[in-house]
Amino acid sequence: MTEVDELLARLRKLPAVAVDSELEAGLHARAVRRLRKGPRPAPLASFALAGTVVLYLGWALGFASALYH
Amino acid sequence: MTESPDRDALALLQRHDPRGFELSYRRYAERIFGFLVRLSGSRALAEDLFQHTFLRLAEAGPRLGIDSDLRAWLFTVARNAFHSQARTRRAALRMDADLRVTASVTGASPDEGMALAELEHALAQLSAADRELLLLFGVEGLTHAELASVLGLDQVTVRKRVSRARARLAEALDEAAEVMSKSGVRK
Repeated sequence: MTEVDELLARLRKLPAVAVDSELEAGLHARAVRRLRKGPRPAPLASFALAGTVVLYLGWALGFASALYH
Repeated sequence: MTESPDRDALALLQRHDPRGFELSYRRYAERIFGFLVRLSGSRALAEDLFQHTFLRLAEAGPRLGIDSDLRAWLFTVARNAFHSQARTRRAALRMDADLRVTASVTGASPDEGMALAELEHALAQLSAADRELLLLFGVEGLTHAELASVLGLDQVTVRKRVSRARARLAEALDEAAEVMSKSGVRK
């Protein structure tokens, strides 16, 4: 058990590893941008596409039903 | 639930305040980076995983509860990123020279430096699973409960695995000492 405790003590002595300062600067800038932006809203293009599809289907339904009247 | 020591940082993150990120970064960046360097055996890979971890914090931080265990959360994201890339690349991860991080520790006597180098070498000989356990439990000081949460295991299993990993580290250390003694590095 002593050996185990000694092992743990040795592991605890392993030092932290410094992060490269250039990497740090780039990471901070990107992280702050993401944090400020908040949750990403659904892109406008997706809404536009969905709206177009609904409009087209509505028109097609109206057109088809007009054929039978 | 116990009160998180990181309530200040978590509260700021919830308000999308960059100071919350800065606080979290100051507290855990070096620990997370050290964990990833030792786990992956590559500084370059560790840098990628490290960036992923902290960018994830910037995205998900505002949704973390005020009493979340931020340290355990960061280690969970870091280890998941490591395992995910290991699966994707299916590469045999080999320890490279980058791992010899303790060789340049300032303030360490030659004997201490040698002991740390032996320990790094022995850790590098272990499987990724054993290394991960010992880094989190031994080096980073996570409790069994935190470890269970990070690894997604129950505490009994965690205790058994830590104990087995310790035994394997002890064996690897004996071998490392023998190698150094034979090579004349240590008399």
